[in-house]
Amino acid sequence: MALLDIDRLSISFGGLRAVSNFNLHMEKGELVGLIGPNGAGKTTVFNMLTGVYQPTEGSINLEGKSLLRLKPHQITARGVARTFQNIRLFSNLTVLDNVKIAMHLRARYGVLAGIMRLPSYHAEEKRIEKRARELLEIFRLSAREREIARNLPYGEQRRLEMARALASQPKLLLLDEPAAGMNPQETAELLELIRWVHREFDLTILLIEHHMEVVMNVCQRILVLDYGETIAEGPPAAIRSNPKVIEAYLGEEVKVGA
Amino acid sequence: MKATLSNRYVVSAAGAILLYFVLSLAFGSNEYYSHVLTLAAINVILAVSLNLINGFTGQFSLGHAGFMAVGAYVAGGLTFFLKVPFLPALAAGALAAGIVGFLVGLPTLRLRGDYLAIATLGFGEIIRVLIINSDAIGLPMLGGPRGVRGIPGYTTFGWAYFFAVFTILVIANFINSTHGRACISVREDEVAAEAMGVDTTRYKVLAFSIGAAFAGLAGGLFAHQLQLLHPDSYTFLKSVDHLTMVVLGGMGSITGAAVAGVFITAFSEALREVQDLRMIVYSLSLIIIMLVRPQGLMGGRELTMDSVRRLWPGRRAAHTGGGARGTA
Repeated sequence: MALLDIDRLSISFGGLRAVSNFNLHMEKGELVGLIGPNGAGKTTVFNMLTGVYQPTEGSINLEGKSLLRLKPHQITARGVARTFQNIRLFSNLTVLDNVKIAMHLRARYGVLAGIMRLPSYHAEEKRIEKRARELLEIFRLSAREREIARNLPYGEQRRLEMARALASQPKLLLLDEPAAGMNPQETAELLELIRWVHREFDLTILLIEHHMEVVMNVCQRILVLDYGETIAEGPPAAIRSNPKVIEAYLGEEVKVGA
Repeated sequence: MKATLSNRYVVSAAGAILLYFVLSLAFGSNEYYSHVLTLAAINVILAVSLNLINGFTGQFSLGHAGFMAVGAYVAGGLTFFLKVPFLPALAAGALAAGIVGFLVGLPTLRLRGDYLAIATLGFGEIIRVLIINSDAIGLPMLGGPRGVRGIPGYTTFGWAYFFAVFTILVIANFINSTHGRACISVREDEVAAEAMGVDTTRYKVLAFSIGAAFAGLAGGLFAHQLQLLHPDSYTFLKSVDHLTMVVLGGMGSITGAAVAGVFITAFSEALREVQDLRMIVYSLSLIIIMLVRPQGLMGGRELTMDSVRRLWPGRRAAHTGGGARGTA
């Protein structure tokens, strides 16, 4: 059974059909790229996947179970985590707390146990803190754990978002332009990190990128969206030479003479 | 880790008890002073509990006086009419206010910002108007605009102080649990909180209900201090007072709210001296404080023994900070 099964997914906002007939089937462990020009509907697909938007038509199944009409937190509980295109950290909280909050789903003690500081509180908090520190270590943010998230440099904020997303122990990770605004060196490091995380956490990753080169390097398979329509799907090499993709990115070829 | 934690509790508890004895020895013999101290402790409960809703969870509520009224009338009614003992009556008042908070919160917490403020303000007024018209709604014993006189004067400074410490402890422990972090994440970014698996509706309603329950507790204490149930005690202006304490203390700071609760009580009492000018001086002072320190006294930080210790870098041994009150 496929991990993720998206079938004929469409959404309209008023008269605008932002995404139409989007199909995606992902096996466990795949790393798929979703690319396309600005406004192609990439983030809208993410928002439908995570319950922020309800699709007008179509179905989304994770491990055979529908994600439609679930609230975002319920979808997270099913094992889907995401990062945001414009970073959405809990910006006034410490780096450590940012990660701890994402482990909320896995915290096993009740409100009363927390207030009365029962043994289950101490045991769980200890476990949460340990796990959060491990994640920060992986993302090379250990030295920053007491700092306020908004004071981190941009690249580190992006890394913290990924650490936070992983803290909810997802099966499927959705990365929305993780390399946006990074310089070439930071981007290269990030790609390495994504590859490593993919392997080490046994994850299935769907990656949105605006820049072709980033996705070409890391993804096994790529989908190209333009004006809400899937215009191409295939391995990086095929996508690179696909005339429709080139047209979407560079505009229609102007025929001179003839 | 655990050993130092319980050590800290012992020191805090010792500090709280010490402060109680100092205050009662210094002011306990004077009826007026002990009245003001009791009022201050009640206001600490109100400010700290409202801070859970407004400061930590980021939901702008203006209905705290309404919940206070529910607690006051339930607790006061129980002791006066049914001769129920003080503590069960207080608990019943707090529970009733918590339940009302849950019922009010469920539909209204879908609203944001200004709209939520207006809805909660409306709720507070509805409670007050219901009480004023108690004859018409079939509860003539509540006395309508006449109020109920002769509520037993059970509330001493000792009880009020005990419940203030209890409130601070419960809310501080709540905030420092995974559930408290969930509430704070709602304030920080609702969309991101949901994406991280936080059921934002649940935690908004939870924080609102807990806050309302403590407002009900404060209402019960207040009714048994005043020995009177009267709708005029729970006007919209009372809610504004509580909000002032939260903003002045610092949104999202338990110690800030507690300090501001005491400060505002003492300040408005002190201003009785200047009589007619009272509200002018009061308002001007608030304006000045907000201009100088817009983030409030504490600005989201807490006054803990660790932070007190840091002021004396030389004394970093484990057993300092004896009198540090309000260690959250």
